[in-house]
Amino acid sequence: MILFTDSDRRLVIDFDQQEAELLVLLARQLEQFVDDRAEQVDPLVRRLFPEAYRDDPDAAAEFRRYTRDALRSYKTAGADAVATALTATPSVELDRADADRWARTLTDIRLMVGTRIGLEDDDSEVPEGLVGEIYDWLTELQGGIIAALDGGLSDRGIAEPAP
Amino acid sequence: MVGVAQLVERWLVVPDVAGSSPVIHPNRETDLLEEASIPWVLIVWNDPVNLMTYVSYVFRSYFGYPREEAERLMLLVHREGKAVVATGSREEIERHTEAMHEFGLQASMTRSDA
Repeated sequence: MILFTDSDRRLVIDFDQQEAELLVLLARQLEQFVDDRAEQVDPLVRRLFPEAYRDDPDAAAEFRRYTRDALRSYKTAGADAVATALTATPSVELDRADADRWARTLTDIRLMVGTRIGLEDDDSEVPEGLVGEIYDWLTELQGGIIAALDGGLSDRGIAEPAP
Repeated sequence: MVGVAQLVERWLVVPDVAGSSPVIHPNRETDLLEEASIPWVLIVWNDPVNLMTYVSYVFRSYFGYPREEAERLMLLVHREGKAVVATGSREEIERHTEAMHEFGLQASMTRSDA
């Protein structure tokens, strides 16, 4: 994985084929989870869809009723955009809005993986092994995207690579 | 010219059902005014998954906070476990809460006097 900002101030990320396939897999898993399980009692649901009113169950339920569908669509659309782009090519070019959206989707994916490996508080440690390595790789990727956003990216809309 | 005291009296004095004698509701109007003026607050909670640089980026890009203020709030979230990052009407704070959830941050809201 190589990240750099090109002369047009777009973020270019060149993934290895394996990395691209992994990220597609994770994005599709997130999409499926949000599609199928967003109404279930699950620690990941609590993190992807936090309660808006922690001390008022009625207000929390009402907030959920009015916002949950839109938030689900938002998250699945973001996951689909990442998976679709990487299915077309392992090398992506992102403008500011794209990079912002990728950073959000990577947050959701890291919440998904992080919840499964038990990252509950700041004392939690990333376990050794493959899943821990995947989590650290996702962290590195997201950190790179945020650094690029901080450095300033072009606002111009860039057409998605043709499928 | 009608004096302020009389105006206030006219607002607060409501005829009872029979209309025979006025019933005074001394606190009704002021309660409503207070209710509307008590602001709501947006709270962002710490989550070990959220990168500090990301939280700071969200505070800058969404709220438009200068870098220094965004970093201060991010460190509060990190060290204290939570921070109030916005104050406003209930509608405004609901909108912010929804936006924070789109960013994947742990955000909730409450009345500022709670």
